[in-house]
Amino acid sequence: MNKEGLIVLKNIYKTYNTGKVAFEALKDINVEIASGEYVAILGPSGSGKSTLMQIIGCLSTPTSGSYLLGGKEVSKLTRNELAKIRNQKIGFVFQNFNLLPQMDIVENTALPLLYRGTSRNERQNAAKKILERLGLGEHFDHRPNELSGGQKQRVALARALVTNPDLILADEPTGNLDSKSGGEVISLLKQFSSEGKTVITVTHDKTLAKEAARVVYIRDGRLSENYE
Amino acid sequence: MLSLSDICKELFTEKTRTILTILAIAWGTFAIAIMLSIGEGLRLTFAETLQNTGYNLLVLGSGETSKAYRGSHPNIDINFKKETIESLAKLPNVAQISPQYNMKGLGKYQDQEHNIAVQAVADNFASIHSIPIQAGGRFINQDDLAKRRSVIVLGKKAREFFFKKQANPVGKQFYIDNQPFLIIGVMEDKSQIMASEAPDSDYNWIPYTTYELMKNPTQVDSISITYKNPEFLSQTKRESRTVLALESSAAPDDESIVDFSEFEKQQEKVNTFFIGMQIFLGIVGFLTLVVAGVGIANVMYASVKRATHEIGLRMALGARSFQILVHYIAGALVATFLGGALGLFFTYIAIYAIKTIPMQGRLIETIGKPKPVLSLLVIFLVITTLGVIGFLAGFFPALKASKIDPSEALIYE
Repeated sequence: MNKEGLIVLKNIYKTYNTGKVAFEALKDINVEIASGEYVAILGPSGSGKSTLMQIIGCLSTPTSGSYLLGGKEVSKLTRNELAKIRNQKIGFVFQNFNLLPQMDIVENTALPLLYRGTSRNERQNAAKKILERLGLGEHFDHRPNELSGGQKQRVALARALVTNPDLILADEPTGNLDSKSGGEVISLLKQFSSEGKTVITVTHDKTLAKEAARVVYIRDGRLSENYE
Repeated sequence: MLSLSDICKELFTEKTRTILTILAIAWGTFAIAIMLSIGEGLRLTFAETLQNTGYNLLVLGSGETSKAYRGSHPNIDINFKKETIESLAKLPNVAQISPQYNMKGLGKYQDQEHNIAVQAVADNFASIHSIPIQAGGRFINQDDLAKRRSVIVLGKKAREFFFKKQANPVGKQFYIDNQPFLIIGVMEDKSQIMASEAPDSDYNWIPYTTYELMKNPTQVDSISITYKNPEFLSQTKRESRTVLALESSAAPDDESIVDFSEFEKQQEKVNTFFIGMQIFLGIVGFLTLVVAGVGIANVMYASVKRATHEIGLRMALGARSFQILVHYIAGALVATFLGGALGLFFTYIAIYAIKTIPMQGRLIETIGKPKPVLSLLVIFLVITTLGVIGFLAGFFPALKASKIDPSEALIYE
């Protein structure tokens, strides 16, 4: 991967049309994030940070502008092409963990590999390996409701890492955790970044944002490198 | 793709609703399978009964002229002669032929007497009319005909009257109008709903040559023929009429000189009736299944709505629209086939129970005991119907699921 510009956003706009009213959630976003960077996108509620995260995470496409991910223009791709990009290049970590309650933690972790067509054995082995690395080797047959918040978020981290993606996108990853568990999650994110993964956290929490090597600010749909 | 156990787990998240739907499908399957099975059983029983009348059978009865022809007048009786048999036997489509003399006489065994009906026939008559003979006995053979033996084959009715539950009457002496006949065979029971006059079980048979020696008849009462190819039946009938016309100086196109009793068309009509009945029963069963299918669609719609957030998550993790589509269709199919398997199981039990019900009476004796048959065709029809209904019931909810926007679904609670 090119060390410079894993993510290049140019003149990104996102407009939502609700009835006769159009709402511009993102306005002229320009940013470049290199491979291996640990970046925090900091902004208050309603600032457009979730919309920006959806676009960076290929969950949504911009109304206009260009988005290069790993040198490939992804702003005009179809639903299925975006699904493939998400599966291969991006790992998601959510504030509310988003683990499936009917599955044990191995099955939860292995879920992205299911949609890649990996065999059941390979999926299980890969999931167990990463769960052991994150200190969950004793809990393979546990379901999410049998785990603490910190453990759940580590399972979510394991799921994000299991496909060995270039980019980890974390949306308020410590929002539902106590300070100790939150600290552990931040340490892990830093560790992933040091191993070459690009880590982007989206947060309104300045303390969490300060842990990142670089902070970009978003307010009223506009992005800035300087806190205003 | 998701494993079967995952799909089942997900289905049973809404346990009560899923179980009720599976039971509805089971009931629908049972309804369609049992109705088709009963229809199939009746059709097969009747087909067998009809077959017992004789296969490719044509019976010729004599008629009379209806018009003048080369000096002959109308209303002249046409008689079959011995030579008629020889001429008809030469027709290309005739496989077997037997003359038939009918007589009534006073049957006697020991001190019991009763009027009986006797047919004097050739050795191939049993084959022509599908008359089964009980083990230990035989029908008339060539030797009996050649030596004009006084032998008799008893029909079921005479056997029951004269011998009640005695073991085997073969070898016993029997009298017709005080003339002794050696019993050489006894007809085995057979169901039969069609006959030119009375069912075969009402008759007894002696060699036609013996009869000719006894009575010196001037005419043959009727002629039984089996034909080789049903496609040429009309031609065979036309040729037979021509043979008779030539012998009797009647017009070859005079249709009333001979009366044809053919059973094939009646068999076809009865068969068509039963197929029609099966189609009707199938439609009733199918409609029941459709109602159950609506239940599945309802469960699947509820399941998709409940799982909107989960579907969004799966898509965020890389699931494509097609994979979500397959996931929910598979869910509907699993519910359908679980219900279907249960329904077929109930059907097997019901069929077993029906078979054990004792049925008696004149009708059952005539047509045979109908038994429901869960044939491969019925199973195939049921499974195909289930597959189509399960697929359709799953398809539309699945299509809805596959179109979910992951960015919106992830914030949906």
